[in-house]
Amino acid sequence: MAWIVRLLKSSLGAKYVMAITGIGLYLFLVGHVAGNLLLYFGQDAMNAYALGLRHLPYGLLWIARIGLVIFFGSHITAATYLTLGNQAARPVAYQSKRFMKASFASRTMPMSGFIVFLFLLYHLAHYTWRVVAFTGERVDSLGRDDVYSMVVAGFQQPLISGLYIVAMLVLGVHLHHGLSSLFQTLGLNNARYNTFFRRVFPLLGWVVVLAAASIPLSVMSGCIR
Amino acid sequence: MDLTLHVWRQKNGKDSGRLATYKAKNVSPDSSFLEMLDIVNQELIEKGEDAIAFDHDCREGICGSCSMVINGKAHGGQKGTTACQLHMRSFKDGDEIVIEPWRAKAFPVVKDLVVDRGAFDRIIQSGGFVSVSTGGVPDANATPVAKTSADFAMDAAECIGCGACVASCKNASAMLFVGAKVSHFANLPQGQPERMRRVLNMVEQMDAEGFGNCTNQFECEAACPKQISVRVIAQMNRDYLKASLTHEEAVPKT
Ligand code: HEM
Ligand code: FES
Repeated sequence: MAWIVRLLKSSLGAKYVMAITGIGLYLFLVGHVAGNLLLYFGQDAMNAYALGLRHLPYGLLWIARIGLVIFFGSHITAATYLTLGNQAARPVAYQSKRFMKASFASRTMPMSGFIVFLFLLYHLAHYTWRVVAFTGERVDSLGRDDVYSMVVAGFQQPLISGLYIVAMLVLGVHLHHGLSSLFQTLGLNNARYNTFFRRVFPLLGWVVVLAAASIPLSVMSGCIR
Repeated sequence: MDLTLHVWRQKNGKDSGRLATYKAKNVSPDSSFLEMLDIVNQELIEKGEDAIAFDHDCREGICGSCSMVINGKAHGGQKGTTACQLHMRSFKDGDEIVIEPWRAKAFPVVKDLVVDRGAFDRIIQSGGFVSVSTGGVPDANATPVAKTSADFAMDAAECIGCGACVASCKNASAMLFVGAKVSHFANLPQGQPERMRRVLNMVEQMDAEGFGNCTNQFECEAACPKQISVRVIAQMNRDYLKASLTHEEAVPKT
């Protein structure tokens, strides 16, 4: 076990954790957003999907939830560990620092990550724990929990929709760097594939966050009601 | 041309330091940046003041001594050049120039613009030896090396250890330097026997010195006077992962 501790305490070990959990979190995001796009297919499709998730066999829902907590927890722990180390590594700041290559997204990763974390808490409190901006229990005509109407009612409030859209843009910035950076972290840098790593993969984050942001936009514009 | 310099002055490691302003008058555009500093220093000496301390040696871009951040960019930010290769023709009459030392916990300021880069030496030492057979000079072709590997190793070997990577990195990370040293030997047959041990020890020493952690912003690559590619960092990342997972010496002794 000592070798695992040694690996995780090293700078590179913590970076591998960031990259691997980052891939996991991205894949979760893809699944989660894809599921929620069922809102475009109407009340029945959405509510059936929500019910299906809750009745997954073999306790799969809880396995997934625990997995997510571990992934988020490790990602945030490693991020904090590395970021504190980075701040300590330059105790006296430059008075005139100018960047030549480092992108805006790459320089703001800890901040964009932190905003996403705050949003995550809000999102859970909103639709999972239903303790903020909750508009009352609803059931549909088949007696199912009416997730569809809950989400529509939620996003009919411009302030809440705005918050979700901004949060998705921030996540897009985070993933813009993250989905490219993780390959370098895992040692993948090859002239053959660098166009994908540096130009194509950052777009994969935008596809997902824009799809997610389209939901509050569609509710507000009346496409989904 | 006439310039206004804002130079970091700091008596020693304990002094907190400050930017001091100096006028550099009648600077020839043909002089190098360090010659311009020499002229300013000569005037300071004649006035009985303390000259600005800065490191320099070869003045032709091969020793890596001349460490200074010029207007927010390591070595002045001109592509593929050290501060000593920077010429005053890159500036305009009336320019204000801010000159600061490398800023990193692992590079403590000794005086003014001079920092202690001993951390790099200790990382190199931690890399240990390479096994090379002694005896007569071997035939030049005795050990085959693929052209692509030799090129990569030689590109990595161009590192002059100046520390611009650390200075330019938002996180004061030394991974371009360590990556270059790792890749230099990892791509040559002579480097193979100790390859895994070397990367383990060098990364560990790098962490112990208090450098930051790379977040793949690639600022180092842009600042490196030898234009070393971040490919060397990927090589280090790969080798360290492999060594940690498979090499016996990665298991701490109990
Ligand atoms: C859905 C949520 C999230 C996803 C999909 C995600 C994804 C990623 C990915 C793919 C990386 C790249 C890893 C690498 O460079 O090797 C990354 C890096 C990072 N993430 Fe996240 N992340 C998420 C949430 C968070 C949160 C909540 C925080 C902080 C509280 C955070 C902080 C960071 C930091 C500091 C980095 C390192 C940045 C760097 O290497 O420059 N992330 N993230
Ligand atoms: S003085 Fe040797 S590289 Fe500049």
